[in-house]
Amino acid sequence: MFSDIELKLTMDFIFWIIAIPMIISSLMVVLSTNLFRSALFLIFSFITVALIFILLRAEFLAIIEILVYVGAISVLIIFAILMTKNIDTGSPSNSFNKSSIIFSILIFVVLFFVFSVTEWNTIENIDSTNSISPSNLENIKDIYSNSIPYLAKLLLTDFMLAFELASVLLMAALIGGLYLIKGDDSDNE
Amino acid sequence: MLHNYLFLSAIIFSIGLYGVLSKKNAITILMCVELMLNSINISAVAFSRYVFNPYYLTDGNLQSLLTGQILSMFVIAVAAAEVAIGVAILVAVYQNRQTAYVTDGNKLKY
Repeated sequence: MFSDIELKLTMDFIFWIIAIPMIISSLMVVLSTNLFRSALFLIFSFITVALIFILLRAEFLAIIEILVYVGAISVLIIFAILMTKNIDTGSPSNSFNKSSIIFSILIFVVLFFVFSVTEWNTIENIDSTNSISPSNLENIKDIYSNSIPYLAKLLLTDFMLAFELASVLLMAALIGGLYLIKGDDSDNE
Repeated sequence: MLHNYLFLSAIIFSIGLYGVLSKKNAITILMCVELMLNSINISAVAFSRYVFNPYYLTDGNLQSLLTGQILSMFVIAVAAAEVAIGVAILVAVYQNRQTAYVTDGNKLKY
């Protein structure tokens, strides 16, 4: 249906359609004076990140992003906003405002420079030199288009220890959260 | 194509960094940390999609191409734990001192 160039242009177009609202809503998270509004902009930016994941053919991660970020983390953050009363006073800046603007622009320039200068070993570059055999190319396409079984295999072989440690971490976070919220019951009794 | 994703990730990362460094309210700082972690996720998934290590061909272990997605999964798990603990600390501090500003929390004993 599409030629190669047209497909690339379409992908670029879709990418910028997703990326520009993402940048704007992330800016609004920082700049908005109303905390509740900035939480809503944060949720919008999570949804655009999920769309970017779909564009990168990581559908499983997109689902996880929607479930964990939009479903759980944003609810926690809105809960915290409603618990603390000063919503309308917004989020004033501390005394480091100007220097932190300069510092973050500096970090951005450094990152931009490094990303542009580095010669990335992309699949397209290697593919153009024809060093990948056709059977391997088929395998790579299969890994990207049907990634969930491969992810499961990786998670339960190479990354087994990290997987178990993540479960211990979540358990510790659960217990720690309960302990912090509990308060001093022993004094009242 | 890889460059677009990396530039997007750099932009979001610096916005989040500015928010973390310059804001007083602890909730805004938590939200900006989430933005930074999300930008890391984007760049990790983009690397796993586009960057290819020829070693995988000789090794025959092509599924290692998806390592970036695994990393980003762990980042999501750690972010969930971090937000849960962060909100718990915030609520505990707010119950004691009636403030959510990090600049007011500068006394060890209250």
